[in-house]
Amino acid sequence: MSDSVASISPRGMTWARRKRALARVWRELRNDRSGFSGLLILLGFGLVALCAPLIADRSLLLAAAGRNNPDLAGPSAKFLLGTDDIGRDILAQLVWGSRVSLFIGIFATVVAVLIGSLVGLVAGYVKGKVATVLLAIDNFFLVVPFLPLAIVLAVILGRSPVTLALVIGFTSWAGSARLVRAQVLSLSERGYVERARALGANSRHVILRHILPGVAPLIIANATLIVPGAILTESTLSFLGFGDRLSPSWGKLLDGAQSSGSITLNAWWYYLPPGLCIITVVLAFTLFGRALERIFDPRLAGR
Amino acid sequence: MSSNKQYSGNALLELRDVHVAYPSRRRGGSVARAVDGVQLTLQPGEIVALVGESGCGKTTLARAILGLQQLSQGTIQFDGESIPTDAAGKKLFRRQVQIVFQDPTASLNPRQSVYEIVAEGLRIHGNSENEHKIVSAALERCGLHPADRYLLRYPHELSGGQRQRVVIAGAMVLEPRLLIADEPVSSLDASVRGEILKLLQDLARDKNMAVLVVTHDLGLPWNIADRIAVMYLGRIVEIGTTEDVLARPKHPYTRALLSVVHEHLQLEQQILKGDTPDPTSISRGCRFNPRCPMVQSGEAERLGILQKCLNDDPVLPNKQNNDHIAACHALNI
Amino acid sequence: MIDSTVLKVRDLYVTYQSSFGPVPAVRGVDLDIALGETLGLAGESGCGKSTLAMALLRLVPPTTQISGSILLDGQNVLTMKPGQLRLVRWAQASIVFQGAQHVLNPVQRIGAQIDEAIQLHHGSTSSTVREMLALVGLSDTRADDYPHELSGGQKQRVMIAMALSCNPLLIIADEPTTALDVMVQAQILQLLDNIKRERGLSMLFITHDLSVLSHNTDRVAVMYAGRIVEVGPAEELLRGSIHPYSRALAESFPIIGDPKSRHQPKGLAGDPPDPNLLPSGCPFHPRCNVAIDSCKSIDIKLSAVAKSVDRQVACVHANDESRSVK
Repeated sequence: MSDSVASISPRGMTWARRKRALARVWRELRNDRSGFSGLLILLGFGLVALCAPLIADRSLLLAAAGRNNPDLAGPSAKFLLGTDDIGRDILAQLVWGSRVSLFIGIFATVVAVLIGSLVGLVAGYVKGKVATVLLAIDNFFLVVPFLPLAIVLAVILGRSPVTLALVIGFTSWAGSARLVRAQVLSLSERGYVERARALGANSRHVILRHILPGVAPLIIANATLIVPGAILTESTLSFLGFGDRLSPSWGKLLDGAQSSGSITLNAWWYYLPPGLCIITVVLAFTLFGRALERIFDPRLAGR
Repeated sequence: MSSNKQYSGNALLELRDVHVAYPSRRRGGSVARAVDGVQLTLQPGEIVALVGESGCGKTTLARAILGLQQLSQGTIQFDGESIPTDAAGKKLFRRQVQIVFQDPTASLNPRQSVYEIVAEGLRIHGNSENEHKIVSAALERCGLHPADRYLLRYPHELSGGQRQRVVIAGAMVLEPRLLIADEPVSSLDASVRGEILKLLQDLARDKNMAVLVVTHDLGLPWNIADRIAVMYLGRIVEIGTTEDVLARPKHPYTRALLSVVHEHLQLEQQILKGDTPDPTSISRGCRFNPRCPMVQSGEAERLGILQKCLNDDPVLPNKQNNDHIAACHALNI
Repeated sequence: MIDSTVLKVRDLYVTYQSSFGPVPAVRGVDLDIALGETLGLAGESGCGKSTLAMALLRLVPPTTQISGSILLDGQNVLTMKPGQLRLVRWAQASIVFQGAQHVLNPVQRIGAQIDEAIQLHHGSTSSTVREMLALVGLSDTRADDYPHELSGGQKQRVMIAMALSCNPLLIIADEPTTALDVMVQAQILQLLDNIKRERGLSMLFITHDLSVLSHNTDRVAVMYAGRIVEVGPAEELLRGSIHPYSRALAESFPIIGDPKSRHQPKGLAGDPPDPNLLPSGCPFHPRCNVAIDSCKSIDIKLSAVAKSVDRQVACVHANDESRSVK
């Protein structure tokens, strides 16, 4: 510690602090068995999604690729997870589908968290009419049945993965706005915020130095919990036929399995793998998110 | 009149007829007159104690001086000028008036190191030259030496007394001309109390900094204050040098307060009945009349001032800076 | 002797478990409280005074180790069965806590709460809620109020009423006036004093504020780092402390009007020690201005001083005239 004293600079200080905070989070995460296994599972899926082109060629997804293959064939050495109703390799679709599902899940979460944090921050920090209006909007999005809303929006806006992610993000920010607002309200009552004001700080300083660092961990933990919801929503939309016809997401695989009658034909290799993938990823994100929440949220800390 | 003007030119802080009212938090919407007509001046380098029970408006008054609370009436002048309302002027003013809060633990952001906390004021005011040097000097001046040992610590690694020293150092880096200390030692351990008070007294002397100490504890002004102002329900009811007020209290409220303080053994205990008074219902006439021992014992009637006590609001007489004055009808017979 | 001693504590050690390992909060305390006597126990945060209070009625977490003996009216609290212990709490000794607002149930009328305390231990004396309210200076109509309708002082009065409802021999008052305003504090102290006198109660009055002890207590014990460092008659101890720590504590509350303390705030350098990391030898030596070399290694036990019968001090300088006179 003594050597770092000599080289104190604002930047060095901040970095030293971040390093310490990260080390603490890592240590606690390592000790949290369920949270850590969640993280490992997610890393595995992430790796598969990134390496998709190495595992299966993208051309295998085309309808033409299955022309010469048997339809609805069971698992074999050539097709590890069998083929679908038009003879395409299911493993290839599953691997490429992880890309779409994870992309939509994460991108939708980023959108939701951005909107949610902004609304929560403003509603918590600015009092008066603005806050009232924002809270009313927030309440609307909290209570409106969001699947019909998402369906309507998806139909109007089109069905590319990006628009789907935007739609899902736009319909699932209300909860995090609530959370952020509550935390901001509590933080802005703290003595150190009053002290900063008395020192002459403006709102910008107070928000950047005291409020945001205080809500950031909560936002991160909350985000990891939104991802599984977004993935499920994407799957639901795709399964209902409102997904992107051209991108092979897990939801779309399930949709294909259902419409081809694979369940009655007992072609389990068609519907089971995407279902299991969805469940596993959702579970892993939830385990990881809950662990982060335990680590970050002061209210849960001392249990 | 002219002497008056010259006098206000010397004062560092001058409050005239300051009122702060806000709607009551309870139902009914009656207005709480938290500060209800306060006159007070502070000279450079002077330590003045503002003493009173909870709800007497002392903290509201402190916040009003800092500009954190809007006045409903009256003026506050700092260095002969009104407190600026534009952003730039406000910032400059904030630099010169600093505050130390009661609870040092709450006033420190647990995520910031001591260095960042003390440097925060400098960064807000865009003064980053020699930051390290200024911060270290302020910490050492406030009794945390060698500073290097504390710079990278976090608040939870410090004791209560050390935290309060960090708060004071954080205020001192801006070289304020007025420091407001709101119950600076009431959350600290008894043995640490004296050291912090000594620090405040030394800083006031060395830097010619005025200090307004808000407190409920009458022993504190005896330790460090030059003058005392006793507040009751939003108004200063007695003011004078510490020796005058504590040795020869004039107002019956001050007398009662002193009599229950166990460090003061000369007076017979005079315990006022009832609870701490409520600023939403200030009584007619003298605001102290519902609890005044002179009214209750019939002494006011014997002196022939009872009607005045019940109907006329007594005012503090006009005064020179160090005069010992009190707002009580019994003093004007 | 046994008849008139309500509380007799011998060689009490209380060690509680924390995530950092065992914490010795009370380290060998002897205490006696006679019938009708009030003992003041003064010390700063972390000195073990509250742990001591809770240990007297075994109100400590189950993992806490307690050794020594606590004789309450001749019976050892530490060896009692749970049923007997429950009877002793309230009926023989009851506690008045610092924050009344956290102890009262916010959704129950205060009359019902006092009644509950009476009903739990009906037996020796059953007083009525009305009597108890009158005793603490509250009107009958208050019985129908909820805690939030009362002021801080009134809530503390309710707490006192509950503590007195089973007519205990001993009241343990743990900082009963700390959060209150000066004037309300004086009212509560006066109330406790009157009740004590009327009923011939014994009291253990715990506080960090030495100044409130001079009027209300017969004897005072000063605690530092889990141990009593000085004990003696209240006036004598507060006016002429022998142990350097009690002297510093007494001086930190100035006597108003005394020119010696005018513009001379006095305190102790350093901080109260962490019970986890007690200094070697006399635990006070790092903050002591009269420490000698042997203080670093030898921890002096509490023992009687030559010049006064009732006083005991734990300091090398205890019998050193030139020092103690200062």
